Amino acid sequence: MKGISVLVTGASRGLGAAMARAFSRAGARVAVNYRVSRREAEAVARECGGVAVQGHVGKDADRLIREVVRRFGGLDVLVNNAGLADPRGWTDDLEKMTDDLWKRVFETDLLGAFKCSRAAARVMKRGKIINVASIPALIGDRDGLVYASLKAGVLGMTKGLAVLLAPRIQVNCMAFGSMATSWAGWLDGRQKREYLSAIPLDRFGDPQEAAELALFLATNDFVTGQTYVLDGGETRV
Amino acid sequence: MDRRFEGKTALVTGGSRGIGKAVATAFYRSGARVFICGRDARSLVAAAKEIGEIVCVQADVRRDARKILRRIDRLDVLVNNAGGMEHYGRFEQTKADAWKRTFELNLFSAVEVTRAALPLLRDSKGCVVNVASDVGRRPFRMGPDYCAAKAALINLTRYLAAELAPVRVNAVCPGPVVTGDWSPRDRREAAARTLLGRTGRPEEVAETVLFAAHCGYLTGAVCGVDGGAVRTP
Repeated sequence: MKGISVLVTGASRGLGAAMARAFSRAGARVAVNYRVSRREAEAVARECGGVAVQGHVGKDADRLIREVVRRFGGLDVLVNNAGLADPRGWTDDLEKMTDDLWKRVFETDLLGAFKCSRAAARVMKRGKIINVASIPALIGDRDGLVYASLKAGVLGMTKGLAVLLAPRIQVNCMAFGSMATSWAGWLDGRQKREYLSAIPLDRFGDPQEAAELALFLATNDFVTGQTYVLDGGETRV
Repeated sequence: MDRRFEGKTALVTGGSRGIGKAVATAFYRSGARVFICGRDARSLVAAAKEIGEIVCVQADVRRDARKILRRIDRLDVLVNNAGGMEHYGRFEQTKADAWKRTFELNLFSAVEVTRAALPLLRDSKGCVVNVASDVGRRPFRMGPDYCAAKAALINLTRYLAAELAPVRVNAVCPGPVVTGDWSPRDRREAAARTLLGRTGRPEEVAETVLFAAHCGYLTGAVCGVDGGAVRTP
């Protein structure tokens, strides 16, 4: 990945930070986007020898991409990782799925991914866009219906963008199962056991493993329009 | 340099030609000890000469699963790559013996080799990568038997992922990849089937196989590498 420039949105922690580090280790120049967690993002960027760029993906996408191009002279890989992380959305109570929650998740997870992709498509000569979804978007789940619904939108958008932007830009999606990120901290002991019992590999995924998938999709030149499910065997779809 | 498979052993069935040869080459270059098997002694020798220090086993996966595995004392990655189309016909012309031969070559061979390899894979907590096809996800006029056999291999992959864990089992589904002598018209048609407007290279499929073999949380997955030809799950 020498000389390749990469933007990972929502990369101040969790999967995004792991991806940023992995891209950097592979030789890429990495832009670490964040919305509010400036100190964490700057630490990740320092580790990566890259830059931290502030912005809300749903509101500031054009500026974000412009800034990356200004710093790196171009953009080759966009990872649309930013997603709203709000434990209040993690509920099985339909009454708590407020308009406001829908709007906020929509603006980050779906509209944000679209606007960053659109801005990236303007400046990429050839490149890769890698989206992030999760398995509830494929099979449903007790909790997190709002997230799942909008991640299902990301799955659909991935295919549409793959068609529209081919052959210049490959567009793929990673659908993660239960990964060991801050999300896992929202679960109580019973919930955690329930999740584990559905996973053949009997563990949560490591952020490194998510990063490995991102790296693969960023380097392979014949994969496009695909959803790669990384879930320890939970869905088998 | 990529040394991801240093100290690991990989077996690639149908490893002397085409995609299998590219997969064997990629494993070799990333540090693995590599076994390949194939029916034709001459192409095995030619492949070994090209790749480097690998072990060739002349064998037919339809009959010799246990014979192949007797040569191996440790195994981390099994790539069920052997397969193919022996004929090309519409449904009404595809008779029972053709169906049988296609399923023997593309499904039962993978079943038997996997069964024979399982004790070694359990010891190493290894993995299986089944090379299926994009037509196993969404059929194309490639013969009903071939499409059905590849679909069966994909579903077997998902089944085994649950039953055999912690041994991981994944499928890689290549789209059109030119490996033998294709007519210009076949090439054009195949390229037109993809979003990228070209056929794939064996090395691109090999990269996908190595990813599937290495990524420790991937199991029961269907990894398309087909230029966007198929976008269904």
